[in-house]
Amino acid sequence: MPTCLIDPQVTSTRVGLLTALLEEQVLKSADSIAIEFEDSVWTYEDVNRRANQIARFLLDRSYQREDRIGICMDRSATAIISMLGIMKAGCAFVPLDPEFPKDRLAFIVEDASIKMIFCDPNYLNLFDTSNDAAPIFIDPHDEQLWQSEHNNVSVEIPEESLAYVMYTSGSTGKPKGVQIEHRSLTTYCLADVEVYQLKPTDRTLQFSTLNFDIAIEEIFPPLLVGSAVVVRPRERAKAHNELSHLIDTYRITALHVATAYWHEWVDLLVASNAPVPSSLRLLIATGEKVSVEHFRRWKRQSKHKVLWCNAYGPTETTVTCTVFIPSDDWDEPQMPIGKPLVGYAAHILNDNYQSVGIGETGHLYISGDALARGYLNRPDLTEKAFLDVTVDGAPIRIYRTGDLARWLPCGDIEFSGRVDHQMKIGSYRIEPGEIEAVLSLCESVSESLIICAENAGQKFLAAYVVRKDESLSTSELATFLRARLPVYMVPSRFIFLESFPKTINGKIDRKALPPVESGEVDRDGEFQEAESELERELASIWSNVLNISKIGRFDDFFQLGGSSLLVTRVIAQLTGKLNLAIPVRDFFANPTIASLSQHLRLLTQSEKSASREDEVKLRQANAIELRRKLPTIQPLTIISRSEQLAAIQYPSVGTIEKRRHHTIVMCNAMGHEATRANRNLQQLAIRLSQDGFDVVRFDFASTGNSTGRAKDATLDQWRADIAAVVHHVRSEPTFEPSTHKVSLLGIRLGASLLAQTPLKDIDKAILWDPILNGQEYLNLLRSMHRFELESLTRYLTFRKGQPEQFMGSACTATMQQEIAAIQLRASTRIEAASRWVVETKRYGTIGQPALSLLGWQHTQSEDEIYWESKDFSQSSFSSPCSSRLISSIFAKGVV
Amino acid sequence: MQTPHVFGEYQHLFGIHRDAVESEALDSESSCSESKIAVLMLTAGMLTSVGPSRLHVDLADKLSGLGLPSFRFDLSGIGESLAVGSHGSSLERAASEVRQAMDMLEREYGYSHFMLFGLCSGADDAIPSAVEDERIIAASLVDACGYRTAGHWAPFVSRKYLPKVVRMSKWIDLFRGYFQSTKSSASTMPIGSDIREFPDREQSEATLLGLIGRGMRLQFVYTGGVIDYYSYADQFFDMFPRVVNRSEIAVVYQPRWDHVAMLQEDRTELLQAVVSWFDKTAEAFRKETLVDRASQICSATSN
Repeated sequence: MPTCLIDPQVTSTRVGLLTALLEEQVLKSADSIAIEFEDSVWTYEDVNRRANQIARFLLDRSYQREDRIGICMDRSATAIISMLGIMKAGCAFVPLDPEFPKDRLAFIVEDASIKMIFCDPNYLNLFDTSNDAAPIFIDPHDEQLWQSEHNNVSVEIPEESLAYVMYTSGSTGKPKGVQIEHRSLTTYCLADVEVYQLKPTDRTLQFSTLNFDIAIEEIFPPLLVGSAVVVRPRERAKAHNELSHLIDTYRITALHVATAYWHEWVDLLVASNAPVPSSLRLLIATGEKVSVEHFRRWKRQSKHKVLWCNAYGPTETTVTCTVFIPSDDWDEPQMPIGKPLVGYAAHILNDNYQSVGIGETGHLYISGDALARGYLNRPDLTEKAFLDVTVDGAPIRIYRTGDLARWLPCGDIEFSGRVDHQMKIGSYRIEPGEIEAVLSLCESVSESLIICAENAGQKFLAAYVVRKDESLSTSELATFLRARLPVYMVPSRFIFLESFPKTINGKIDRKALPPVESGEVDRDGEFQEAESELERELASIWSNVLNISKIGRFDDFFQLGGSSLLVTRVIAQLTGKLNLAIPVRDFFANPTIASLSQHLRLLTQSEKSASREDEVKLRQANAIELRRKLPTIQPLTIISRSEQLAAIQYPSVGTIEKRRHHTIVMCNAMGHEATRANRNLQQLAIRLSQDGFDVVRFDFASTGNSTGRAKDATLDQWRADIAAVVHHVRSEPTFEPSTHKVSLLGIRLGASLLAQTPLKDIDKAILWDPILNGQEYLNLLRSMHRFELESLTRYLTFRKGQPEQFMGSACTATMQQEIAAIQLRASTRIEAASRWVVETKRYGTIGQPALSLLGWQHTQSEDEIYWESKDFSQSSFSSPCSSRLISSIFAKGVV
Repeated sequence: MQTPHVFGEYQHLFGIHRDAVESEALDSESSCSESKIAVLMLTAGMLTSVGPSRLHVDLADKLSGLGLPSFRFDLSGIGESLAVGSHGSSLERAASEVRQAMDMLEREYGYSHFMLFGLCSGADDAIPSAVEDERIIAASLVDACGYRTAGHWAPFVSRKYLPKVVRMSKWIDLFRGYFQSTKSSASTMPIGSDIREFPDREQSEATLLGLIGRGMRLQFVYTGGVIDYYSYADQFFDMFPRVVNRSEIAVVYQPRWDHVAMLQEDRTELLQAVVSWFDKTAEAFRKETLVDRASQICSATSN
């Protein structure tokens, strides 16, 4: 019975420090490339010298063994060098993800007693720097950091001392810090080198963000063999298959990817009939259960030999503890998680800590020198997870993974599920207990339960909530959670219960819970139940199409995530179930259950019936009520240079007390993109006005309803237009400079232009899918325009067309030169207290990543806009998630 | 000069008025006729009052230069106009909102007669609007309703499919599409189509006869963008044989243009065709009203 494939005692020898092993490697590979990042390379000598300088910088300031030092930077060579330097000084590094909410970062800083943070200046605003107890912030680009001596430091560091602390989701409502010692790190790295057969000629892609343990795997083992770590560049490729492009461009040989991402990549390879990149010799999929079907597809796409590995390991075992490497002829229905690495042992035990037989399911435990010390400041959790027990007569320290598993006859382990309810969504490990604990902080919540649900292959979080206060809405709950948790931990459905069904043992009876489809989405405003039979029928159809069970009479179809595509499905069901046919635009004019039902009733009644007259009266009353909730739109004409800009003002709706004294100016895109974006900006403007903001939308000179000829348009004029509109807002009699705020939102080119406009005293600036590189944008427009002319889809014959126009809009040579010159990373001039970029799902495929816009906070929306698609050139898109994120940023400064 | 307006039963509709460039000759002519005419541009599909590729703005500029004021506006739920759940079916609602626009324009500017411009669903909306309101004296309709005739099929096949058959790239696309199952549309994307509302052919013909019977003038412009139902120059009169040789109806067919005249050069040609027709029609109407007025004065004098 293979209870323990590797004797843990064998590995309990002194393995040395990773930093010392690296110094040895420097002697062998001084001039070899250690790190490659964008256009720069760092040799082993460079890396070691710089790491030494950081170590001396810390030692000179009397930092001591195990002092925690934070790192809040994007992936970069400097980030890796900082990790090494901190460890060389005997301190422990703590990765701080700039994507986390401020509260979460503040908790980590306090929990880890972080003394100093190497922090990119752009991320300083994530921390409270005014506090006396605040850590010292060091700009990693500060020259004083690189003034120290660069020879190796001589510090005695026991193997048992702390190397780093990595925070993961914790079931108690706060993230928990996993403490990894030097011995664990070295043990793991050596095992990694051995199992993956790392070579000096390897080039490993550093793809993961630094607060995932996968980054440890990508960075340190390759450096121990003298190979190169290639940090993923900030500028993302516009290639259809970005990962293949990266591998080809940088001649990557080794790749570690989250399983979900690998699945997507395989699908992309199959769809484009592209082979696995020829340079790749090692691929490690990790994080979730591997789909065997994807593995088969992968093999079909592999034209050369690739060492393919399925890795398994919780952060508490440093990184990976078991690996399965399928043989060439392997073909089974389930992919095992393999055998333990050197230095690790795996145990599958029953409740009495006795080994189970082959094929029997038991609890999976890991032992060996690479286990974590435990959880920082949480001895209670450490005691529960790390156990000193006797297994098969031998005393041993084991880590309880919480996973169920069984031994296969061949000695591999097969994963069988979770003991608890820990879940993985994408590459994120999520403890539902953490979300439940945060919910318990909400005074109106009595009890809650978080589950992972799935719809059409998409996993999502759902929250079952028992309320103390029945008036608590989904919107309030979601807002409460967004302020305290990362976006990926905020449930997308809420199911309210009077009480939880319980088993006879008093536990929540999960099987008796209502289905998640009965849940509500984050909804603005109050819920009103459907009243008539027709309204209920309509609500049922909407519910079916939107997959949301509870639809209110005044819920806006589009705010709930509906799109024109879904409108056609509603109409098809109306025709099928109710024998009613209506045009799409009737739906746009009646986007609520209440208005649509009245519309349909009127259509189906005879012209002169008495009930029709009653209906008309009722409809008028409802229209007045609906109108009351909408803003009183006010057209404006704003002079900018010699042009008249057409603008619309949406004053805040509701009482004076609700007014925020905060005006948001919206800048639209250019050409056909402006047409596509228009409806979304209008809907967003209404939403914001209902939330107490004043909103002004306008057309740039020579576009839309503004005056000016298209051939006279210039970007300089458009930047002046933005300034003119802001000036107009500030010149209004009701504007009180000391209390009234001005913020801006721009989409696509409008976003880029607002970022380039030298405005001061702006509260928030939000760029929605901005154009970072003008040349890329022009190339996109050219390609779309050429397609329209040559595809024989729009035209019956091949067309050439006069130059200087794209997709229906004139764009002079001068204008094209101005656009081509846009390099947003180097030219942002707006001065705003808070600067954000909102990026939709496929945005990264059409240009540089917004993440590369330093100094701007970044958030990703679930909406897909497909700017590059030729199919939707004149259509509007649907953007419920982006609207929520943007509203949240304007209202609370967080997502 | 252009002036924005918010109007309508619930102050929910938005539109922009464009003045005519002042001209003494035009002013004297207009005042003599006592008929003030404006062009009203209707919402095209789901696009805003700006029109496809700013077509309505360009049209307003050109009309202004010829002394014709105009008004472009958004139907409820589209562009800047708010969705408050207005009356009736799609066509009824459009007719009602066109009427609300004309009422406002009559009140604010004193216009007594209107000429409509409608593209796509705007063309569909123009007909019931004109039926409902005699202030509408003319309409220029781009890609309005159409019905396949016996003569439709041969040009349809040769114009739509022949160019594709002879192009190698289309065959490559076809094979690529067959063997690859790439995701071609996004889950939250609209399909960008609108449902057109054509009455049956006989009803359309009867409506046309009714409209021209009361003296209304109509221009029908068909593009290559509607090849699926309109494929040759004379198809209009094959569709509606009872209106053949009626001087009130003009038909333009240009298969080179797409449905929204995306290319600037196409848009220039389309505008030229539409603007010159509006100009001639307005002039003819003014002359007719002058003659009517003169005969009224004569009869009053003789009485």
